[in-house]
Parts: sequence; structure tokens; C-alpha cells
Amino acid sequence: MNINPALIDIVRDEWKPGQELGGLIHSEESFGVSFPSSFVIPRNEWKDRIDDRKSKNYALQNFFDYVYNQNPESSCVYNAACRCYAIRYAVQYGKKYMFIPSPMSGYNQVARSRNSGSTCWGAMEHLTEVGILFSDKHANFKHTYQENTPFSRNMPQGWRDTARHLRVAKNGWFSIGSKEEFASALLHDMPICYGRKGHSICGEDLLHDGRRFLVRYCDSYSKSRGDNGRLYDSESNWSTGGAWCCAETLAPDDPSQPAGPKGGTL
Amino acid sequence: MSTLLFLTLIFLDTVKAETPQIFTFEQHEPIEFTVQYEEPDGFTLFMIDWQIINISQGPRARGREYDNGNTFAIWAAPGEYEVQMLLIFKMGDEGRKEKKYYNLTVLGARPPPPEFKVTKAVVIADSPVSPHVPAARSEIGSIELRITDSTPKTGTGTVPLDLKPALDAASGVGYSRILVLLNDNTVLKIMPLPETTEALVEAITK
Repeated sequence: MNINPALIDIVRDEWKPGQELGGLIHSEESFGVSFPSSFVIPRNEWKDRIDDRKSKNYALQNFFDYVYNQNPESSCVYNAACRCYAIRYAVQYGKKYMFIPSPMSGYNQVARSRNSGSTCWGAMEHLTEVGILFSDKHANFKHTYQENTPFSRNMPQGWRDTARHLRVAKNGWFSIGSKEEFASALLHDMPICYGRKGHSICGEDLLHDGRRFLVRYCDSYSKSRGDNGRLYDSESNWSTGGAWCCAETLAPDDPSQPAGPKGGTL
Repeated sequence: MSTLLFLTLIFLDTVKAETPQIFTFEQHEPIEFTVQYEEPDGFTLFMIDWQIINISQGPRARGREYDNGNTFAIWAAPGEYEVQMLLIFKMGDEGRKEKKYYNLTVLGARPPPPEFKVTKAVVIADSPVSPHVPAARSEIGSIELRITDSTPKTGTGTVPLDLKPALDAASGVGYSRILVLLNDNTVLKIMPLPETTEALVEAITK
């Protein structure tokens, strides 16, 4: 496959030690459960699995054909986490039930300011315990919120009643502890929220460029960045700043009403 | 209230063939046949035997005897049936029997044929099923395909209504990964999850 080398291992240098501004705040704390050892796919099977997906014209990136633009806020973690959530929901229920979550509806609950940034594990916890809202691009939901800018904490009254439906399931985040787990998660359709050097992104697909394995990830600076919003990381950038894959979202009574019968319709 | 038919029988020494009497009932109207008889001199009633036979094929009926066979209750879908009544009398070693036939018509449309069209498939698995299960979506048209583990919850902690019929049906079947085929929320079939996309598509669409 043709991959532009200029798009490999491009790491945004948003955050530097000593700076307060940053998107991803490094933390040793964790959340979720460990990636199950029984789910690990041996490295010598990766290439065959990649080829199988390719033969089916199948890619995780196709489940959520939408690219956020977090600019100018430092909300990368919630953009990546919301993307993981939306992709996994579409895997479970089908693309026809895809909706766009609002990263700001989570980021504004934990960030001290528009550029304070946030931790990955905190986002995992927030999407599990509290939940998020739909983007205001959706017209038929009771509670919606702006996707990103401007930073605001002015949430609609009663928003938690909607947000509690839009959560990752208990134990639905698996923490990634190795490159083998990283690749296995993607081959199992579990998108990964990971970070490196102060920026968090969403890993979508495992690829092979003929000589090495690459992760195709989606950034959160619109489709104008990279290849339609996507760039690539070699193994050296996998899981260097904490990583979690989304294995299961909560289930609705009716997939066309993910926020419940009073929360609106897709 | 039951509809009671009082049939006074005239006993003959031999079986008598007669033109069957015809009875017609509305759909859902209770049907009971009750027999009254006079025993021939010296004879006593030994046995009453009832049968209901489906003439029109398709509709189904069942009958049950009560009161030592004196009452025959019938549950019948709309259609045409024949009711047979056999009386046997005994005096010492001598026996006499009499058989009567009744045509029974239950009015109303026949029940619709069973609906076997699959509208939803639910895959229940506690281990990964990608990509071969979600890849099937592009081959099954408008049929809904859900993927869930065995203990899904809604945002309020309940079992999702969308998945509950499949989860209930799959409970205790013993497969580690299960495919449940439904028409709306009526379970049609439960089977082990096929291992390839092609086999899964065939199971859902054939």
C-alpha cells in the first residue's frame, strides 16, 4: 500500500516539560482492566490478519468517517477518547447508528482551562462513569453540545440524564501493556486512545507497508491534516504515553435512540 | 358459555350410515359435543370414543373427552373438520356399536403462515469476533446485526430491550459464541456462531 513517508512518526510537539499548556498530561495513574492475555494475537499472525481485512475491504477507520478539529483548545485526549467510543458503538450496532460525540462535553468537566490539557486515564474514567453528549450537529437530541471550541462549562440543564446513556461499559477499557497487545486490539476492532509527547490520538488500523508494521491513527485537526486526517506511527511510537482500547460501550434499549426514549432519535 | 349439542341416539343392531350432520361455529366460540343416549334392552354402555379429523389440511384442532366421554371439547382453528363418535354397548359377550359422523366448520380466516423472515441477528460472544462478524453487514442488506457480550447493560443498568429476547433464548444453550436469528423480537433460531464471514452471511440470509 502507498503510504507517504512524510506522514510517518510525525509527533506534534504541543507540550514541553515545564510548560503548563498541553493537550495530554502525563500521569502514572491508570484506569480500566488489563488487556486479556487470551486476546493477544501472535506477531507471526499479524500480516495474515491484515491481508484478510484488506481482502474484505474492511478497516476500522470506515466506521467513523468524521474528523474532529480541536483547534485551538488542548482537548486532544477527549477528541481521541470520543472517537474510540463512536467507532466501537458503530462496530457493535452498525454504521447506520453512527453519531458524533462532543469532546468538549467531557473535556470541560475536567480541564482547568481551555489549554490546561487532561490525562488519558481521566478521560477513560469520565467516559465510563459520567458519559458525554452528542455534537450539536445532531438536531434531534434533547441535549447536545459544541464539539470543541469555544471552551465553555455552560452545560444544558439535565445533561447528565443523557450523558449516562453514552458511556463506555464497566471494564470496557482495556489498558495496553505491550506492542503485542497494541496490535491485537486493533485487529480485534478495539480502537486505541493513546498518547505520546503531550498529544493524544486515536489508533484505528494496523497496516504493513511491505517492511514494517504501522498504526494508522486519526488526529483531531480536521481532514486537512495528513491523509484525510490520518497519519501513521511505527512501533517506536506505540503506547509510549499510556494507551487504552475501547472494547465495549453501553447498550441502548433501541439503537436509534442511544440516549433513551426521551433523549431523542438519530 | 359453551355450546352444547344434545344428541339423542337411536340404537340399532348394526352400524348405521347416515348423512353427516353439519355444525358451524364462529371463530373463538367454545365447542363442546355432549351425547345423551338410551341403552338398548339388556345392554349397557361400555365405551364412548371421540375423534376429530382435519379435512381441509393446514388448520389444526385438538379434542379432549370429559365426563367419562360424555362430553367432547374441541379447540380448533378456522377450517373444516369431521367429528366421529363411536358408542359400544355390551350384554354378556354380545356387543353392539354405533358410529356417527358430524361435519364441523369453524368460520374465519385461516391463521397466517409462520413468519420466518430474519430481520435481526444477534451475536453473543465474550471474546472478540472481529472482523468476520461486522464484515458480514455489507452482505446482509437491511437485516440488523448486533454484537454484544453476554451481560450487556443500558445506561440505567437494565438489560437492553433490543437484545433481551436473544439473551433469554441463548441462556444456558451451552455454546461459547452464539448466533440468534430473530423476526423483530421473536426468536427463530439459535446456533453456534459460524467461524467465517461467508458462513455467517449464509446462516443469516438462507
